Amino acid sequence: MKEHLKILILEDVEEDVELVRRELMKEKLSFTLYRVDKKDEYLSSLVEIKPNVILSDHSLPQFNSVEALEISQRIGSNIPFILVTGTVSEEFAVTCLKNGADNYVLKGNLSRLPSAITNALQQKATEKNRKLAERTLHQQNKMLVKVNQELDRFVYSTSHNLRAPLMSVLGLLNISRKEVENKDYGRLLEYFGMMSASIEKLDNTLKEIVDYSKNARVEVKIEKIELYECLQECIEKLSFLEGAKEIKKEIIIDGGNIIYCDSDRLNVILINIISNAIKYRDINKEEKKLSITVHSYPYKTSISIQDNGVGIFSNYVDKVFDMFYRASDKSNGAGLGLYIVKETVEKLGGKISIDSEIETGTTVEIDIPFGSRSTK
Amino acid sequence: MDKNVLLIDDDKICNFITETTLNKLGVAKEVHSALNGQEALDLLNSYFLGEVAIPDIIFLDLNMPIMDGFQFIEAFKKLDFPKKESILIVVLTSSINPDDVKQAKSLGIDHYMTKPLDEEKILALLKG
Repeated sequence: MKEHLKILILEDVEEDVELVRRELMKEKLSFTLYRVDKKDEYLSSLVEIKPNVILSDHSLPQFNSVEALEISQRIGSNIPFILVTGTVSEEFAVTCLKNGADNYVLKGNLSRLPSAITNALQQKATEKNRKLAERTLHQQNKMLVKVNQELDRFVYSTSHNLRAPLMSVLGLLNISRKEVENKDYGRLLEYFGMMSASIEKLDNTLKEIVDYSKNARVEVKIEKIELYECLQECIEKLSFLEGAKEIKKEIIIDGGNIIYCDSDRLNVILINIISNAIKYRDINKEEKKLSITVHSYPYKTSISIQDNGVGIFSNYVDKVFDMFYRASDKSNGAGLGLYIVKETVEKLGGKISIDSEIETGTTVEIDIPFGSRSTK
Repeated sequence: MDKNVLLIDDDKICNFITETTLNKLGVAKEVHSALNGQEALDLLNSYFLGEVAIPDIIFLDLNMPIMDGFQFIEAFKKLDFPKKESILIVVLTSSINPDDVKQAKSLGIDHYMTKPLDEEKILALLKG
């Protein structure tokens, strides 16, 4: 036993304290004895000394061991409590143990005391570890329940988002069949167009789910990226989107053009945000603009993507990063786009924020802890 | 069986399918559509201006941006509207989540249909 023990002894007879001291010294315990025999002293010692062990005689001038144990328990100290007393009946000893005393040692057999102290301390330590383990287990359980609920929600929402366009196609097929039965072919092409749009929506949702899953499962892979070319490529990929060509685009690179980052993830982030800027352009504005500014530093890259589109209502801005949240009827997916962007930025250890004003436009700011140096 | 209908679905194609089906069945008189709960409330309010006929039946999707179907039901309950109780609300959704059914029922919605639209069910509902 290496630990230095603070032992609080409740004893009114000085000689008995000395007997205890001698017995403990024989076993080479490292300890300090604090003797008290009055209730108020006992109380203040519990708080001030914070003893590791309490040794208590049964009868004291102002109170007794039963009360002393109660007090110790009431302040929630959980300090090992050992009754050290003259002859007591077996019945009394059992009652003491039942009440929560850790052990009892007769004054006539003090040689048992050192091992009684050691055992009581060990027992308390084990108990404490068990409680800690129980608490951890409880917390993990709670977390698992939460994860399961999220998974349920994800499955339902996803199935809904996949089912919705499918049901549209099915509905359109029903209508088309009727038209064919009536030999009325006039509107069939129109229905086919709607079917294509629905299937495209379904495809978008599937792509979003794959992006989401990829981000969660695939390890971050650092590669050399040429910023300007990467941004150009993203814009090029989105040039098929309606209205993409009417937007005046501008790319500003401040700092080096080369950074080291996860190129797949950076693409997912940029494609999502740029496509939003295109989709939510303000058709009433003469000049539609998209400005991408990148500042690269040795260990950090800041990207700012600013548009002069329709903007987001202030009460939706905080929610746009939520899973399955759609702030607009124009949303052509499951409402996962910006959620995936946020998750991806966070997977890279970065931060994202969005600032938007209705009819003025939206600015997305991204900071990622990757820059012009390949390693930290 | 000429009914005034309000369609609420964020998917324009769905509104189109429902409208076309009702027209073909010959049960609809005036059909209006809204892309979310808020738009529908605005439409209902314009009834007071005499621009829109009071709907006899509302087909309501649940999952919509801005104001979803559940929020719409709550808001609709608070509306001060003549003969509001006679308006039939039918949830028409592609959701197969039992919690959605439960929640809709708890909000007092008796008619719950999953897409695609079933003509026979519609006819039965309108006759009943």
